[in-house]
Amino acid sequence: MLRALAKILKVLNSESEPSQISLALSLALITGFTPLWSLHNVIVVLLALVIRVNLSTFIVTTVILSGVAYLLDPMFSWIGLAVLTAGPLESFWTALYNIPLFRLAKFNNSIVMGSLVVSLALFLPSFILANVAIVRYREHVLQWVRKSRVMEALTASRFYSLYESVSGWRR
Amino acid sequence: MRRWIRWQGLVAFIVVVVCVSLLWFVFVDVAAEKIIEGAGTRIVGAKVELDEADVQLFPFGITLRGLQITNPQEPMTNAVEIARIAGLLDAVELLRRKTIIEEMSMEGVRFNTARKSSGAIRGGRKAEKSEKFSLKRILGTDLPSFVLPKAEEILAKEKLQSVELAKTLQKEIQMEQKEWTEEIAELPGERRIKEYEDRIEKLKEMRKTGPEAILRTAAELNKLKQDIESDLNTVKKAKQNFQATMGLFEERLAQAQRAPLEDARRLASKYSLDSQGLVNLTRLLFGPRIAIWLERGLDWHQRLEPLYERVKKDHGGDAEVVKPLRGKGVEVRFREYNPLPDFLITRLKASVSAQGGDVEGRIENITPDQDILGKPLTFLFSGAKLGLLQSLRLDGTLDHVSRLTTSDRVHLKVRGYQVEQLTLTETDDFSVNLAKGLADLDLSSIVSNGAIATDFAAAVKSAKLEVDIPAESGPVARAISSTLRGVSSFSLDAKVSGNLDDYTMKLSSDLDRIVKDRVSAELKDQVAKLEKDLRAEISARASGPIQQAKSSLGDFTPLGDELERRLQDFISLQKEALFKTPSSGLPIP
Repeated sequence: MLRALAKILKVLNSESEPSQISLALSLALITGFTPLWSLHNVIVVLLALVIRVNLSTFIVTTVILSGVAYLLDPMFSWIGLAVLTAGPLESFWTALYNIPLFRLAKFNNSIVMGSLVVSLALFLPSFILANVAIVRYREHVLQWVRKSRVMEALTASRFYSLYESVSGWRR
Repeated sequence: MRRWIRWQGLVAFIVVVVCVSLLWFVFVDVAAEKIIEGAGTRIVGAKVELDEADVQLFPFGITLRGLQITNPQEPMTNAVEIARIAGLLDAVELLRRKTIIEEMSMEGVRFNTARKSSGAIRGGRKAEKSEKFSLKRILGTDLPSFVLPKAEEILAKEKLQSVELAKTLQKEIQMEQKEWTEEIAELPGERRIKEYEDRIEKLKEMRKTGPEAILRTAAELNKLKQDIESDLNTVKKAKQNFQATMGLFEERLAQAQRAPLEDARRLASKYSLDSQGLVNLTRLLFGPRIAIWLERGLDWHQRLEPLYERVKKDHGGDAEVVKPLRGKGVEVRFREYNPLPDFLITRLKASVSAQGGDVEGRIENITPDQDILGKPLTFLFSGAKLGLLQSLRLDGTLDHVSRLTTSDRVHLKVRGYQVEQLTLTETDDFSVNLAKGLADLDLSSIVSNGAIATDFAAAVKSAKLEVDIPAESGPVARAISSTLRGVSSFSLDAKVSGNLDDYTMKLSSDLDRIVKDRVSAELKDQVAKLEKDLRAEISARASGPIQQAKSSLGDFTPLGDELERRLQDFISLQKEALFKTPSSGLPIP
């Protein structure tokens, strides 16, 4: 079972360019912040699978941000409500409201709208910042991390040896 | 380009989508069943159970089998049990999150069926919790006793009109006496008469000087005459008013003197089975049963409210905010180009199983958004030769199209209902059971803007009433019991009016008259003795206040004598020779 999982991760996680990791992180912003069972997330997941982004980053970030999103729901709801009830946008929302696909996407829910607006606004900045951070991390911090006690304990585990045997990741 | 595309990902996506679709297909029936049971249980306040839910894709629809809705007041009984419900949904509208069912059918609807296990839920509606309270509130007083009370007991809790009348009269006479004393003091009296006499004497003296003086004083004489006449009229008017007041007081005194007799008659009647009396048999017999039916009917009316009205909150403009659920955000509703309700069953056909046949019916426009649809919910059920019923017709309208003028109407007409073992009233002292009877029932009820108006009429023939009273019961209860056992037909009218949270019920029946006639005859001697005792006791209590009123009236009378004396004085002045007009020429001094 563990071997099978490690193989899947190896296939899907063979891309480790900084841009692939940071794009995964930016996409995860959307799936993490917005309610998971939303129509737009199907498209985001499809993109994450088809585009060669780092899936481990995408999955882990989605899980973490989903927890954070629960705490941020009141703020998302407030922003969403403000956007949805903004006078100048009313005719636009009314037009969308009359299209079945958008009704199915629950765009008129304050949390869906608020979290989507926030995650889209953060998409590009997070991509750029993450990209820069990953490059600097690899240049300055990676060697130190690999020598740390935590990393040594992790690499001694059975799962890591399986992962290593299929992924070809070497120090 | 190829560096950025991961075809395995696309395959994985398709596999996941297919798996999810398969899972949905496998579990959608169970999910629908659980959702319906959960939502129904929340609305009803007791278990709502479903044997099976079947969601079809082509055409898109749902079929429910074995729906049981527990009666919250009686957890071992289903209020409704429905064998099969089927309907087709509009798939396109479903994408717009609207559940539109053009036609739905319900088969095998049965009421009050037994349950195998209790349908009570934790924190659900408590059975019978407020019925006693409701009865007291609706019927107004505690249910009456059948014991013929003693005169002292009655007088201890009743107000005597004779005493009240005499005391009030005495107070009013005293007040009037004070006012009249002040008024008479301000009326022209002795001093004014003396002034007039002086003026007359003066004129007489002047006129003695000759004819010229007579001509000179003519104007003054005329003025004097007018002054005397004016004062005379004032006193005359006061005298008339006084006499009117006096007459009124004398009449009221006579009334107060007759009042003890009337009090005795009224109280004897009240406590000895008069139809207006405490022992209102109709209320005792039918009040509890009808009150319970009414309360339950109103409870269901309120509980089914989600089917015909939605709670909405305006947010200004065309956008509208609904369902502000905590942690789930709020849904903002916008104007729809072709507005449709979120939920609508355009037509529901139902077949209700009854002993001996089915009641067929239809309900139209089931939606909580009647204002959007522009049509009210209507229903019509009818059936004939139904075993225990000859015929039944139930129709009505729940009109909430305009939120400002809601109007819910229901009409029920039942003919030839064979009643069996219906408990009418059950107390420690008196229980009545309608063992059998053939009833015709008519009900018409309107609930409009929080107010209720209901008329209910029942005519029962071939009736057999069973009465249960304790062995030590008094003569009244025994007489009622034997009379009721002999009743074979009776009618009943009930009228309910008022606000939904504070209404009154008026009941009348020819049973009151039947019982009164028969029981009164049997209790004639006892009632006569009670009336005699009451008369004696009331006369003793009222004699003091009546005497005081009489005495006050005696003090009031002399004021009239005073007015009469003044009136005569002014009349005498008017008769003075000076004022007599000569038949020809001037008066010779």
